[in-house]
Amino acid sequence: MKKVAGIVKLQLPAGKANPSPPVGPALGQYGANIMAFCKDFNARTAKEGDMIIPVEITIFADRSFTFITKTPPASVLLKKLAGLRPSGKPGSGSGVPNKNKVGKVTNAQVREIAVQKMPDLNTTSVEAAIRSVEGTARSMGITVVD
Amino acid sequence: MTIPRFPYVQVDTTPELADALASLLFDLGATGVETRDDTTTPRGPGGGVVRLVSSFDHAEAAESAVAELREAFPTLRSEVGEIVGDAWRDAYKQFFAPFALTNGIVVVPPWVEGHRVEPDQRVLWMDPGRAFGTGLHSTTRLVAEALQKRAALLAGARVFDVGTGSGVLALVALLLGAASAVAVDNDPDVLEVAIENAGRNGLAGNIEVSATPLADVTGTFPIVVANIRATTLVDMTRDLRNRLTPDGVLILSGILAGERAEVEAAFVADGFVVEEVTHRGEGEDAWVAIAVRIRA
Repeated sequence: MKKVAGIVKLQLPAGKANPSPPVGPALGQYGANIMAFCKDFNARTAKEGDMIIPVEITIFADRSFTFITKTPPASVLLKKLAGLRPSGKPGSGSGVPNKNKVGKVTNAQVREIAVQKMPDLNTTSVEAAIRSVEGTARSMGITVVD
Repeated sequence: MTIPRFPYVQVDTTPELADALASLLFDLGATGVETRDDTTTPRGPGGGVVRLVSSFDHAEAAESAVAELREAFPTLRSEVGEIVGDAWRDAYKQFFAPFALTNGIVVVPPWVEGHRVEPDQRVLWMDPGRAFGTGLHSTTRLVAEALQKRAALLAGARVFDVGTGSGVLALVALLLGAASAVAVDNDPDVLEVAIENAGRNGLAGNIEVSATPLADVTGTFPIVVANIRATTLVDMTRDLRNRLTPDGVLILSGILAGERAEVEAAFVADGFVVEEVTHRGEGEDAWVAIAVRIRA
């Protein structure tokens, strides 16, 4: 087993990692090769379109690294299904979720996202995953309808 | 020289809200978000609090993001900060040590003194600076090995390197006997790096480095190398074929093992035959290089 020097969690646009922050300083602090990570991440996520991809990077004492990419955040999937832009300019989510409702998703769509997110949520229960996705929807000003 | 500054917005939140908040930060113009919690380094503030550190291109964008954030979530602690300087970009250099790129070529950083090489090894002096291409990456090694295997074809030849980065592959070709190289990269910032590396190896007169778009490069070459990525390569089949002599070989890299079939199909559909596929790495880190020729 190689000794772990650090663990970094980032969210990055698929296929578009570059050496600027947050990637550069997060990896550079351990002397890991930033350009090599960008090449690897961009290759592995090139087909994910304009999704935001969470990535967990483990850097070892010898400066080598591995990483795992996760399913896009529930919020990004919700916005896609609610017909809002997955990322980009302001206006695609609600700035003030308690006041402004910006979109709707159905219960079936919430379940679909919950199932997709199951591998990355700390639960084996679909119901718990659904509750987590519903909570995210509420916090973004997206209403869940039947 | 002006010291670069990188603005960020930092906000402390709960694990439940972190996901939606990160999404909002992207909406407000963030280019990436780092999550700091009890499992990461550096750690979050502790007590189950999640700290999101989101990067912005401009200070104004960060300021307006934090204003919107405070309006939407007045109870959360958020602030604007700045990373000053970019020394972290060069931090890897202190761990970049000489290594055998192929069984005949040893890459040595210029700041390493007195590195002993075997009589049958040649030295490639490389400072990749901020460009891609230390030579350590599997995608680079696969092409270097493919070139070494084709040393007879390289002897006295003119080679073309697409997406040269640090210049490493063009310089390997020259070390292996190519007479001259044309190297292009669409990132103008890396051209200087490739030119400096050529100079370090006494090869500045043998290489033309530029940001010329692939479609505007003229002439044909018996050996073309392209270490980019699969999704880009499949869009370049025609332009790459136009640069290859009828009996030339094109070595493609930057391809994950899972993308092999798609790349092969794209090149075969555009009149190529697959000559050789080589592999390196395993699991999600498995890469292939594909050597193709124009179908006779």
